[in-house]
Amino acid sequence: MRASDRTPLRRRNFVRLALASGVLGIASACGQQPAAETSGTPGARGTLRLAHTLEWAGKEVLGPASPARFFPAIALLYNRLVRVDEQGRPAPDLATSWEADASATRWTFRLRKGVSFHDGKPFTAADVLYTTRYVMNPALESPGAAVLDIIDVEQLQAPDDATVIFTLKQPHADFPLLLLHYSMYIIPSDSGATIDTSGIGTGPFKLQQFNAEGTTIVVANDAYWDGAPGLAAVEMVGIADAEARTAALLADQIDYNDIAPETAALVSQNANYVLNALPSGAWLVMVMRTDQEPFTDPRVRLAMKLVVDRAAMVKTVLSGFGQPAGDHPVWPGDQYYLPIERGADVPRARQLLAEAGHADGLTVTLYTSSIDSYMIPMCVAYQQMAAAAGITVTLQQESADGYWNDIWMQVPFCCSSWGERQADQVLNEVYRSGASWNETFWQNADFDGLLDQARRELDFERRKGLYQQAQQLLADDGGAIIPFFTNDLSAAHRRVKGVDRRYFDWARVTIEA
Amino acid sequence: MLRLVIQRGLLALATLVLVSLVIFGATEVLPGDVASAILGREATPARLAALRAELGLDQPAPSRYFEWLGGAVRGDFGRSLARPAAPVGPLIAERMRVTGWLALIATLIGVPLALGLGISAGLLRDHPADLAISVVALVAQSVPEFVIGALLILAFGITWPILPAVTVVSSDAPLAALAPNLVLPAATLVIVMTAYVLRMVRGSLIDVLDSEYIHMATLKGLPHRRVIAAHALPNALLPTINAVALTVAWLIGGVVVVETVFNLPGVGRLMVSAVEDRDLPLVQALGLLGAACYIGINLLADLATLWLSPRLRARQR
Repeated sequence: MRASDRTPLRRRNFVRLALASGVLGIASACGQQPAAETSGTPGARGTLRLAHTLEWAGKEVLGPASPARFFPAIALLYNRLVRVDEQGRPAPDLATSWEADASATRWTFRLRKGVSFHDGKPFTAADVLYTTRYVMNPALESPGAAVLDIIDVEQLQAPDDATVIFTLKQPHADFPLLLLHYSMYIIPSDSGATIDTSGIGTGPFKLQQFNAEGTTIVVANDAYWDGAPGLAAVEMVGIADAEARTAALLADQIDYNDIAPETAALVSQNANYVLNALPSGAWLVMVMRTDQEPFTDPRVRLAMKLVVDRAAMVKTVLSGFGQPAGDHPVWPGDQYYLPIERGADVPRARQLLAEAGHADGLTVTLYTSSIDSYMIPMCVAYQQMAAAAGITVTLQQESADGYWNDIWMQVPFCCSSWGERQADQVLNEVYRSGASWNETFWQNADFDGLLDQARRELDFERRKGLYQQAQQLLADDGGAIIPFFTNDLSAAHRRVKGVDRRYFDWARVTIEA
Repeated sequence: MLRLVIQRGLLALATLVLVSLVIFGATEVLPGDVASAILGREATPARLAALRAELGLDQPAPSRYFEWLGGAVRGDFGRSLARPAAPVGPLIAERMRVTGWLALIATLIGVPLALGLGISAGLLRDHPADLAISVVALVAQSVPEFVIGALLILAFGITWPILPAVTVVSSDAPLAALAPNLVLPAATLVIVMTAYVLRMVRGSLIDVLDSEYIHMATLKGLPHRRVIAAHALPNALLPTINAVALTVAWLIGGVVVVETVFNLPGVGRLMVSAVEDRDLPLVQALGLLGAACYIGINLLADLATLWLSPRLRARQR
């Protein structure tokens, strides 16, 4: 009777089953149903409806630099100085060009002219200076502050309205990449106190209504500097439950949505929907603390990595929605990616273990949690694969609550997961000696040196070589077992065009009436 | 009688105070520390200290308890931690509107339906109609509400799309916009609660019909209609009052599962968000309100039962 009397355990599976068994048969019924809200004259711009996951459970704000930023609306309302192109390189956005001095510490950005904020105020260099100081203000606790810490805020300059000069505390040949950080969307001067609710930016859409837990509406900004957007409006509905989102999609209440891998097959078999499985740089990792036994021995660490059949992991753990990784976190879409093909090599793993004094086998405890839905499946697969090399892996499942405090960076061997980051950022943030998120406690002066050298190197090819040496070193000697990168999965009604690649431009998305 | 009402009222109040202690105590014994639970991966000693001071965690527990309880008595539940600008009271009120309408619709349809079907089944014991009603009720009671909800979505949201599958309007939407979204959740709740109350009514009526005083009344020559209306039904429905009361309290407290399945912005989902957000003032306020609802409605049910049943009243004296 009461909710607590009924175990919710099987709810997800049941709903999936119900949807899978029922929905496939009625796919055609759905297609014949006219789209209610999108009627209008041919050629008129439509409204795209999407769902979001209520990631912050209601405390979402529109300030792009806030930790609880309302993710789905940010790229619609604001622009950054640079955007990222298909090759993972910085491309012009609000800045049209940039150059560094010979030391890579003084960067000059030329800004786009004739751009206005949604309230009509012209965009100038002063807004860039304001945004930078705003993001780096410790009181905001922006995730961007640590990344942009390299900027010497005292030395920020705007020689004229269309030029900004950043002076860096250390050389950084890829400084424009740092400006891709999601906190560096440009907000108007002196809007720090209001931006969380006003959402005023220079982007292709203007805020009409903000309600994270209900419906948020943004409408076309026809004065957009890059041409009027292809949609009249975007409506964003908060739906926390994954099955409810799928139901909304199949009932034609929304047009576009991120989906869980379990429902991917369902969507791909439905002729009305297009499944977009786009490679991303998000990854999971089994973390060996290199300062604790038995992982102080690099031979043990390498053996632990060599037991993994990465292709099999992608197939079983990710249902095929991912790409194999080679024990470093730089993803294949990154311009500095080093491909390392690492198959399972059990005899070599056994030999390494024997050399390290574990000829009779090795027993380790791997801590895991349901904090990421792939984590436990990954651990179970690893347990099986490691057994072949005489490694006994005991799984210890911990509650998701407190996992990052009590387990992560505390126990010798645990799981962790990370979002996509570009090469320089991830290598420095997670693997440099002494970094606060150095989860493997790996200290390698050669590695740190390579990163420093790369940041000083203005020649792209040589810089790429340095970053790749660092990746190789990390893969061979480091404490991270990184089996795969996951995909971003989304489903769109076939009326929707322009959402089928990474970093798509929201201004160019359209929906057929 | 007045003495009895006061006595019951005081008892309810004492229960509520006890519950408030439990709610407050539960947040005290959370694993680790509230501040570290809120910060998670972002925890640094400086941020922990700042947050502890902000939450008043540096104060001793008893003084924090009385401060909180004092505010709650005045209707001031403090400010939400997660939604910085929002006082807890109005936040709950907005959601309570959705939950209230849902509870009202479900009760208005479900209770008469359950009484009617239950009485019919009880009077027609072992008749094919009774068997049909009982079997359907047993099935409806055994199937979890999320399954019923999913099937209704599949049928009326997707296959024959005549109603919204899930709610895509905000909690502050006008009632006209909200109403279509309430149909499927209300139908789910009606099915679940009708099955439960109906079986109570039927069982109770059958027990009463078997009792000696009913046989006596029949032997005395009273018309069947009068035996049922004057003797059997009032006695049979007494235990049902409590079942109905519990059901209504359950509806007002927020039906988390149904709200989640239909994405309905009610009190139940607010509670889930509050827990996810570690929004303690909100969790505590919702916990206390939920308890107050249960206690209040049960008190009303007890008083109604006492009032309707002279026997119980006499024993209490």
